[in-house]
Amino acid sequence: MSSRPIASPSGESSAPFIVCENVRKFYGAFEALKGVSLSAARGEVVCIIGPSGSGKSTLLRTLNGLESFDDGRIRIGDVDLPGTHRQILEVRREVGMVFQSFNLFPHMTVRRNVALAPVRSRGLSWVEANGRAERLLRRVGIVDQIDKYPGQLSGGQQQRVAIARALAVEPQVLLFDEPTSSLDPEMVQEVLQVMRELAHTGITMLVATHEMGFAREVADRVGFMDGGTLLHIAPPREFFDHRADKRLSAFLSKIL
Amino acid sequence: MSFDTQIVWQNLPSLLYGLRLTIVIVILSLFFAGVIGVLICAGMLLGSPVVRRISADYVSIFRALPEPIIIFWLYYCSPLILNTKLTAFETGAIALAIPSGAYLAEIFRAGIQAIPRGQIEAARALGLPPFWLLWDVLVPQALRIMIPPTLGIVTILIKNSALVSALGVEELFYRANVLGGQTFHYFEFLTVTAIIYFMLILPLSAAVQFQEQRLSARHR
Ligand SMILES: Nc1ncnc2c1ncn2[C@@H]1O[C@H](COP(=O)(O)OP(=O)(O)OP(=O)(O)O)[C@@H](O)[C@H]1O
Ligand SMILES: [Mg+2]
Repeated sequence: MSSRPIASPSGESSAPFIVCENVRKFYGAFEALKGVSLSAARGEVVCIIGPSGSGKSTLLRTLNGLESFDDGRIRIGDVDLPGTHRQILEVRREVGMVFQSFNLFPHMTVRRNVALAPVRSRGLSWVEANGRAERLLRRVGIVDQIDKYPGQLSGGQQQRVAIARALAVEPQVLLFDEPTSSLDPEMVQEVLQVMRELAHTGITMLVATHEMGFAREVADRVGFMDGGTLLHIAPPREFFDHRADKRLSAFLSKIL
Repeated sequence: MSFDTQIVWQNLPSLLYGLRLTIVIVILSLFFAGVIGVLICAGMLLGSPVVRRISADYVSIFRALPEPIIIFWLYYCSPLILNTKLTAFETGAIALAIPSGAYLAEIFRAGIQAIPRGQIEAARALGLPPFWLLWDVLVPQALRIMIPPTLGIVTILIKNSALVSALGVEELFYRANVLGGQTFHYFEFLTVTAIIYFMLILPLSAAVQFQEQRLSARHR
């Protein structure tokens, strides 16, 4: 798995779709990102691990413009962030996000949750969007819950709806911010399984996670963040077996 | 003591005229209160620091004052400030709207702020344009939170509308008093009037209960 080529399956341009260079981010005087450089090619799966507060969420959130940054460069496709309002909307259509706490819209049915953005962001008709919602929900295995409200579903089911919702806009990239961290243990696997299948479809994935098994098995590269810095990034075998960094090996021995 | 249905029946048109005026004054002041509420709420959430301060002060001042003081103050003092004398009816409608607007502003603010940040972030992450973010995600959720307390304010407004009888506005309570005094049948007229107020307010409480049941059904 880790030997999968980094270029897209169709073999076209291997220029990275996401490029960050020396990105710095301050919350007041506190420096949450201290010059992070990271790029991801089309179709690549990058997992990011690291202790709480190391800046994983902050990094992901700068990539779709949910969070501003103060220095450095971020380029998504051919847009340099922060772009114009129009460009940011376009970037967000290309870069979907799945949150730790699902953030489904509680006042809409599952179907509507998934169909909304294709209609409002991509200009599909409701009929087309509902059809797309049904297909995606079948793919993540919850088409039988399509007319329920999020509050009536389990956490694992809600997160799978959230993945379908993000996919419905047909993004090139999906950002996952600890997608299984607020799930009961017995529901973690059902979500990871959906993500595993997704990784084979050629979509680019950046995943902040504590699931080491998933990172080792699915990622093309694994990165370790600590204190606002991306300390080390390498293919999983090298990453887990050689433990190039002292702090990384301390972190891994604590968590594994 | 017996209840004289006859006398109530004879004077019912006069009483209902008062009811009509009560309804008009409630709707008018509710409209003004809504406008005040939206403006003050926008001031508290979006304004510059000075505007925020003023908006917050408006709310805390007019929530603290007894309604009769606002009503009489406006009645006696508005000619001194505004140069024009408002009619009793106008004074009543505005005076009722001023504190209701303060309550509504607070309800609107709380409703908007009660929506979890994650909702807005999820909508933004989907690339929803700002209008649809408001329309599809924020407004429906905020309304759901705001409707029960807003109906509570309407209830209080209906009850407080009786206060403007003190200015001589011939609304329901005023008529009840006059008819009671003319006929010496206070018992009948006040009882019937109480029932009318109750029937005005009953549908509102029923609506609140209905909405709460619907929502809790959805979340189970
Ligand atoms: N809005 C904010 N204001 C101030 N500080 C913040 C804000 N958001 C995050 N931080 C700080 O920035 C640092 C990085 O936070 P971030 O959420 O990116 O970490 P994380 O690696 O995702 O951690 P976790 O595993 O707990 O999710 C933390 O120290 C956090 O306290
Ligand atoms: Mg985080």
